[in-house]
Amino acid sequence: MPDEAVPIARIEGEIDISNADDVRDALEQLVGNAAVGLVLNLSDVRYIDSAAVHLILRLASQLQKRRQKLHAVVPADEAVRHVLVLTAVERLVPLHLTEDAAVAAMRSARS
Amino acid sequence: MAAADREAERSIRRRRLAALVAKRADPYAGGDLPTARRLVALLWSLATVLTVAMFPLSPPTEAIGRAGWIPAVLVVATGVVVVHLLRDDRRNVNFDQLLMVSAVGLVETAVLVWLAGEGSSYQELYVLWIAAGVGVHPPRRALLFLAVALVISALPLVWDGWTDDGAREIAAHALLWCAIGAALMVLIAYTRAQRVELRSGEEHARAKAEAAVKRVLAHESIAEATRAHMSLSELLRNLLDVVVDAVGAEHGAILLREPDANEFVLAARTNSGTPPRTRRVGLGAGLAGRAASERRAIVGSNPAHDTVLGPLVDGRDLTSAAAVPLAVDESLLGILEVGASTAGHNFTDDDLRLLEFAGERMALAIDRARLHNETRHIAETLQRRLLPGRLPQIPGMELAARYLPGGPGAEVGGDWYDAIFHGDGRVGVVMGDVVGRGIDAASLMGQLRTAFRAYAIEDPSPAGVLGRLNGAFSQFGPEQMATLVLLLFDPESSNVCIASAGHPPPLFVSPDGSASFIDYEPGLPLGVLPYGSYPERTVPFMPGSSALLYTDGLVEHRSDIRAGLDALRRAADGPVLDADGLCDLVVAALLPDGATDDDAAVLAIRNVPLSAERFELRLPAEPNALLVMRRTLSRWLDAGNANPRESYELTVACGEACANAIEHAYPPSGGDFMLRAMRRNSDVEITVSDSGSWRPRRADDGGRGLDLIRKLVDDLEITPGSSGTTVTLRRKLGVGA
Repeated sequence: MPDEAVPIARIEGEIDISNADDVRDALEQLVGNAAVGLVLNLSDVRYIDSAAVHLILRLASQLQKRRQKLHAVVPADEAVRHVLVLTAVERLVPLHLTEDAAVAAMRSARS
Repeated sequence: MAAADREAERSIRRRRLAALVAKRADPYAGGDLPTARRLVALLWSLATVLTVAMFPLSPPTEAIGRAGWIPAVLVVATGVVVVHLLRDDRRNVNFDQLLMVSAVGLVETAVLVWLAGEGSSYQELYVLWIAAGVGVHPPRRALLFLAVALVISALPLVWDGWTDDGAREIAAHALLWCAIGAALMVLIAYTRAQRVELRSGEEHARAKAEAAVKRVLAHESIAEATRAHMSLSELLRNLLDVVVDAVGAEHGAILLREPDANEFVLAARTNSGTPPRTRRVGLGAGLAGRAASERRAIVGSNPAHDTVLGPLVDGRDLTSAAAVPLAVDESLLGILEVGASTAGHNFTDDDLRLLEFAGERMALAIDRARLHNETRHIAETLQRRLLPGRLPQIPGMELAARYLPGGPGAEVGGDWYDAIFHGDGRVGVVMGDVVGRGIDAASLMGQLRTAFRAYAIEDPSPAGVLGRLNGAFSQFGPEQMATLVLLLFDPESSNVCIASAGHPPPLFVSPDGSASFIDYEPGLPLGVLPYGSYPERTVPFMPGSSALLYTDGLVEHRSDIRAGLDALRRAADGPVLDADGLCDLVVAALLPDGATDDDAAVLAIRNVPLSAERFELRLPAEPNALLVMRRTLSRWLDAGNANPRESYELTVACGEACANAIEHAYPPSGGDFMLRAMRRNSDVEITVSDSGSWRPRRADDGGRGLDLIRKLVDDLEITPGSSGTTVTLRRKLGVGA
């Protein structure tokens, strides 16, 4: 059991410009100063567009300023993954297949 | 006191005597015809009897011998006939005829005097004729008659020859008759003058009494009119007509005060003369303005044009005008003005009191109407804000609604409706009717709607929503009740789930046009029991079907709701219409004269099949429109055999284009944008057009949207224009992206 827990956010539904800001605000609340970072589980997200991409990237850059990381969980061959790949999000936000993998990757990258 | 009385009496007597010789329009004024008739008849009877009695003393044979009896008999016969005629009440006789009859008597007596010769006593009969002639008739005619009588009586001097004795006798008789005649004339004239005065006095008193009665009736009708239930402008018109008539004026106007201003605007006027040019009066200006500023009744005689301003005077010469303020407690509500243009008219104190009374009543009526209007306005505004302003149209689902407020005099009702698009593509449509009226009902309706939305978004299934709403209802207070019907459409599976809380049954129209009510089990209205169960039923709702929700205001104005339901079913049965057409048809059939006391709401929803080749969508430039767009586009693409990856990518691409239109094309007040999708074989073309002007994107947004689009479609074309921008996306299906 590591000293710090990694907050995991599980999002369900669709993200577009109508709720992107709200989602981002909610996510920002989750990450305390002492956390390593945030794991974003998008397995149950059925739709994202550039607004969602934008929010993920901004969240990532904000966490980066605090030396925190953002990892995402997206099943393979999901349309959502496709969009994240197309928009090069994975360069900033590592994509994993499971939550455990994401958490493990986050902790190991620390060192 | 006594001296004044005597003086008054003397002047009256002088007046009456002067009336003796005054020329009257009707010389017989004051005359008592029946009495005169009886008098003349009496004198004739007397004369006839005396004549017969005198025959033995002075037989009429002196002049022509025995033949003299014939005229004598004729004279008596005349007398009998005349008396008979005069006493026959059915026969009309006037004063002139009486005069002639008296003259006839005079002449007959003269004949007898001639027949009987000198020394006959027939001459004494002359006094009877003089009494008849002089006593009945006005002075001038009486004098004429007297003169004629004197001449006739002097005739024997002429044909018998002048004798001193004869002349002396005739002169004595003449003096006597003149004295009698003069006395009679004065007496009769005096009596008649008295009678004329009495009659005019009576008429004057009667007129006063009538005026008083009229005033009392006017008071009553004013009080009655202010209680009547009619619109304020009708009330003011009626009151004005009553008041103007009651004070003997011809023109009237009511001015009402502008809210929070010191100006008064014409609100009602009598229908006399041309419409006035001036419709406003300032406080303190002119007769009306002064009545308002000084808060008292003001009267003006022959008011100059610059004294009486405003509606009452334009172009009209008034001989008198009066104005009273209309005030309730401390607040001044308006002015009542009346004016007369007949010569010599003046407003009496009674008139002013009546005006003030009317003014008070009018002010109360105005105050009451204002309060009612304000309350109604608040309730209406509340209700309007709570009803959805616009129902979005999406291909595949047509929605239309109509709301008819209750007729004039009805308070705002509690009907409401709403439509929710759920995240999974299902559409919830609800209609409800809160029991009650006015502000309370409207605010309860608002709370109910908010609660409904909250519960429906959480879990759309109708039975659950109704159950939770019923639970929440106890919070709204005791004695509150509402009916509700909820339909949940699933366009993907083409069915609909129904649950109802005591609401009239939804009407379904199948694709072939036949209308029927679905059989289902309704629950109790909300608020009746603390825990309710609401069964739900799912029925097919194929493309081409319509469903109609409504409130009881649509069907219940007939006494029997079953007749109303039947009429509704029959009206909707028939050729298939779109949702708007169905609403209009049903409203026209069931409420041809508009809503009755109760308000009525109608909502139609139709499942329209998507054409495989194309569809069009007009959406508001709001973020919530994206969900609707995605649902429709993916349904259309899936129906057109796009694979899930293609469908998703095209939807994302289109979503980007739409998001741009929403975020950049319009000012915050918003606008609409158009989406068109076309498919020819395996080529899909989607255009998104707005009619705004794209603002330059902010730096941190980047051009990600457009980049993303380019990666997802074959071809992207942006056509900016002065009247808007069109983004065109093209992609061939069935090919790897």
